[in-house]
Amino acid sequence: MSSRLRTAVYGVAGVVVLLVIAQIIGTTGLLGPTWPPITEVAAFLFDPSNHRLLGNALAATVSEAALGGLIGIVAGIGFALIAALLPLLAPGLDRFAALIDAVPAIALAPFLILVFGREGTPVIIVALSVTFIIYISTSSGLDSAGRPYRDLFSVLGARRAVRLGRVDVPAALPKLFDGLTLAAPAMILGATIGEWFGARRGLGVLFVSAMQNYRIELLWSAAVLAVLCSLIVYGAALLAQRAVVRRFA
Amino acid sequence: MTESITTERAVVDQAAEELLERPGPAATETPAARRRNPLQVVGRILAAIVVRYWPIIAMLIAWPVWLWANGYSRAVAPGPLDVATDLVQHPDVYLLPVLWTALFAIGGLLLGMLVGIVLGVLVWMSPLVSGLLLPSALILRVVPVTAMIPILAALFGYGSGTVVVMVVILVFFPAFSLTVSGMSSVSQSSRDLFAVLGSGLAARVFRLHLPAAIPSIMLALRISAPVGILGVLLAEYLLSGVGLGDLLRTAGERLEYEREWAAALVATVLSVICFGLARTAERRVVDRVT
Repeated sequence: MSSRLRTAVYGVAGVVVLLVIAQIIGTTGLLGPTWPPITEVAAFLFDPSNHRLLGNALAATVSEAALGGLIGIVAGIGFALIAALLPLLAPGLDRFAALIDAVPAIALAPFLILVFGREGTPVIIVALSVTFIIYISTSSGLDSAGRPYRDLFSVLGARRAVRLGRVDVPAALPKLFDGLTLAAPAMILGATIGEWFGARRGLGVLFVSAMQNYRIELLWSAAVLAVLCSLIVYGAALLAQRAVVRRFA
Repeated sequence: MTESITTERAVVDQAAEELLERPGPAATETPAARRRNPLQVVGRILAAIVVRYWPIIAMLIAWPVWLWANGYSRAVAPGPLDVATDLVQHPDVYLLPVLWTALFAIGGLLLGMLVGIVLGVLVWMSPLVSGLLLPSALILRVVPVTAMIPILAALFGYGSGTVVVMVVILVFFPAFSLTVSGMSSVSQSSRDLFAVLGSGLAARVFRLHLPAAIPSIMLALRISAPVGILGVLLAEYLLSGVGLGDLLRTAGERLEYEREWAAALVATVLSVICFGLARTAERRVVDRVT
């Protein structure tokens, strides 16, 4: 058995073991009534009468994550290009990015609600965390082209913008996609944090209201959906990253 | 895949650090330029500050201008001065919540690291167990903390114990997976040496593999520090009646916006400090062992 196959088999077996343990805890009531059997959560998820509630929440969260992610990717790449073209602005942008990353999203909420409203806040929280990751990964990618290539372009008299387009940007693509795989889970997390501050719909709203109303199956179902979303986005980003690395690295 | 999701974060952190250290335009000054009159020295220092912090300066200026342009009163949106005034006049309001939040974050961080390292050592001894556990740990990792907190609250109640459990779960995964990968990184020749000398399992773990894992373990600490703080703040916001998260919520509910914004500012400073401490700790320890 090849080591890759073995890893996959172990992994699948591990997840099955995890599910079985969770099921046993649920059916025996080992951790009390708030740990439901996994089969009940699955039944809740597949029950058509719940699809409207879950679907609305999922659609809200996914659209916030997608819009915020898009803004974040564009802004992150934009700022990285600005820093590359205008080196005078770079030190300030680097420090600002580090600061934005260190600020806990919850601390920005009062300010964001005022500026962007309760519905816009989740999008902006996603956009901020994605901007940071993409800015850093793109910037370090733009710096990563080999010295000889850059020297060649300088010697041949290429302008900065030309060198950027022909050398630095292609060299930056693998790093950029590395950043994307990291941004994937951050997107769902950011959207649900934003939703805690008075959004009307979304998985984040569902987590809190299900907890407060003691609707345990609903709480677990929403959590399962959030995990599946994160894994799907992460998987997609990972596939894209592999393809780009094969082509450009 | 499990390793990559933790180490990718580290790659971005590393890249951020390298960017912060890239030479700015100020690095070109010559010794002769330094011997000018004091006015020019002050000017150069100011220029260096502007170059490094212009986005923050721009925001501090834009903040009151934006409030004024929109005609917001102080009751809706406090300006920088209102926030600073509340901080200076009522430091007692903030002190206790800061201590609580720091206590939960640091305590949970250390406990989670300990659990992760111990589990990592146990799992490392068996490829089967580590193969089984790592993917499951990845799934735990992807559970958004916003979903984890309500579930843990339903399981363990709305008290402070739940906050600690949550931080431990958040922190345990990077420590666990990086311990396993760090312990596995020992070179074959070192393993052979220990085998030839006939050392037992304990000697191999504590003299060879665990020391080799120290850089990875410190990396886990650095990755976890900001995650832990955010988790504590979120949990305090939703559950317990103590800490900065709670202060944020109660101030918001009472429409005390200066206090809410000041609490947010204090939380930011606390987070930045923890971030810095974890980074310094990593650098010091790694410098010592490598």
